[in-house]
Amino acid sequence: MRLTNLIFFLLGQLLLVIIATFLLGTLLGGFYHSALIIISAYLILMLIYVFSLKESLQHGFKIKWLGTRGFLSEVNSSIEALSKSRWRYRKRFAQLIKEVNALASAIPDAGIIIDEFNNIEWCNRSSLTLLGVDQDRDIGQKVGNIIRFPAFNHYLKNHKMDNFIDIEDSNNKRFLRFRIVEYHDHSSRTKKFISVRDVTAQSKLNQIRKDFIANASHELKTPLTTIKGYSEIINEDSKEQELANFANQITLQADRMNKIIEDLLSLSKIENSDMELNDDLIDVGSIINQVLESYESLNKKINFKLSIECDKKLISDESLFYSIVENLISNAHRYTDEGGDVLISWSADAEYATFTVQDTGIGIPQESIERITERFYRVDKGRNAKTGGTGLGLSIVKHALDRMGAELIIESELQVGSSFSCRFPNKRLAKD
Amino acid sequence: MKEFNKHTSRKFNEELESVRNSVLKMGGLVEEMLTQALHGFFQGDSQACTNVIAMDDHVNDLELEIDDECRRILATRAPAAIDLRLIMAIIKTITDIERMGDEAEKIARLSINLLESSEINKADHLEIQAMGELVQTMTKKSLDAFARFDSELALSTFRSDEMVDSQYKTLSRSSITHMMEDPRSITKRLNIMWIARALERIGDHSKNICEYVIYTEKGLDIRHAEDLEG
Repeated sequence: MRLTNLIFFLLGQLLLVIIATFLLGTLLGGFYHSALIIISAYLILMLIYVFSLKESLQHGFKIKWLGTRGFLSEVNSSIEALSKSRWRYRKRFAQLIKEVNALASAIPDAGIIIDEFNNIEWCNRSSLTLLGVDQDRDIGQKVGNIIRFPAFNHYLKNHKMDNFIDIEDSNNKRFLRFRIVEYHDHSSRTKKFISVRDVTAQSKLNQIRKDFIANASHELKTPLTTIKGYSEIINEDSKEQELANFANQITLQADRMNKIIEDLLSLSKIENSDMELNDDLIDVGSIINQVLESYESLNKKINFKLSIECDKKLISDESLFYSIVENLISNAHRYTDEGGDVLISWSADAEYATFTVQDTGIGIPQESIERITERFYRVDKGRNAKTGGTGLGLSIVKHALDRMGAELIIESELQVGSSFSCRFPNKRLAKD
Repeated sequence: MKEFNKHTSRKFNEELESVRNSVLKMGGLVEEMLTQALHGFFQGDSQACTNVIAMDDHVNDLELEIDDECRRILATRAPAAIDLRLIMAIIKTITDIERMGDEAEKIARLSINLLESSEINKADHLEIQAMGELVQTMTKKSLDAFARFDSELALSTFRSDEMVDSQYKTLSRSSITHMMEDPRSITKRLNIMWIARALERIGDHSKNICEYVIYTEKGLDIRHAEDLEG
């Protein structure tokens, strides 16, 4: 209430009291007594107003109070406006909560929130169908009491950011993918959100794909061996030169196909996340020399230059690392013209240990660099027949580095050369 | 389970809770063992069977651990009424769970035998499969009932043991017929019979767990009771 309003209000009330006292005084003849009576009556009236307001407020403003009309109506309208806006706010809030709940139950994934002692605080409706966690009965229960897969309880203890586990629920013939994220609530207590998705279809498909590659590669190898054997016999025994040439071509192509199948098999093996990686101590220099030895006897001469600046050993899987080195060097050899230079280096700085193969070959066009690690991707569709190679080498390098936690950096310029760098995080170097 | 949170001593609550959690952890292990053992049998996966045999040691360790903890609670807290019933139920439950583990291990060993010696065909699988699924569900439900102290679920699971028993009877009858028809198959048949027997025993142990749940929650002993209506 503004000051002028207050003054007018007070003056009006005072005037009313004075006039009433004056009238009663003239009627009774005693001004003092009548003033006392009027003021007491006024006070009692005010108390009644206050009491009725209190009653009304206690009942959520549902009962009308005495001030709805008359000189306190302004107070009344202010209270009404306030309660109305609060009510609207509350209604909006309730609607929002309702919507969030409806959304949570509509999601096909199960969601569970647990507190720092792993007690269930909240869960949605899908968690009943997927996991048997009932939102009506299981609040407060330890999550491990209801979801009893030993693998889940292990994951609950050892989960990390960005990882998940797939568990087979054989009772319901399902594959479930569990993912746990940690967060802090308003009073900064650590809570966990467990999301569970039914990935049965996905994991079946994946399994079929893996099995197919492994089986198909294996099945292809057997007939290939026969083809190769007979073509070699024809090549050696044939008296006709032309026939011998044909047979020779068959042998060469069968060898090439054999290499493709072997690469496919090793790629599917690397991709298989069940394969455990060793933590070998790798002497990078000696691996490079081992690989280079096999190139000495070849007709095409390339000047290999070695630069080993780092003498620390790398901790990683030796057979995977060997295939990385072999693939990169054989690529450099293949795409560099005779007499060209290839620089192979192994160095370390504050952050990374880097293995690089830099050639002075034909280079890769800019737009192909991104796709060059895809399976069977070729820069020039017609080129593969001439240069050989399986089209899988860089895929193997890429996937092997992924598994080892390292990255592949490719830089290239057409007709100048390409450089392939494998960057390992520094912590993978052995401290001697 | 609400009743167990009402003690004046918070430590006591925690002790009861933690021993209950261990029982369910043990139950989870045995569920996994049963799953793996059946998987090993159906898929001819001897690696899974070997895993099961290794897992039984964990279950045995847990039994000893929980036993110790219960003895300590009995000695130091002198529980009464529902707490006493809970501790008694836990002591009995872990014995049953441990036996279930032993039976699952038996299934794994028998499966390895079968894999090594004879050819199992699809028909043999089908007979065990229905029973295996039923027993798996029973085990899961009985442990769920234990987790929630849900006597209704316990009672319905308790009753489903009849199904397992009748399937076992059918299976043994058909096995006898097979054996009489073709005496060469007796070794294989006996192995399959023993697997079915182990499953039937697991069903019985699940049934026992359900009895303990009802006993704890209602204070009602339904062991050896004929009339369970009402």
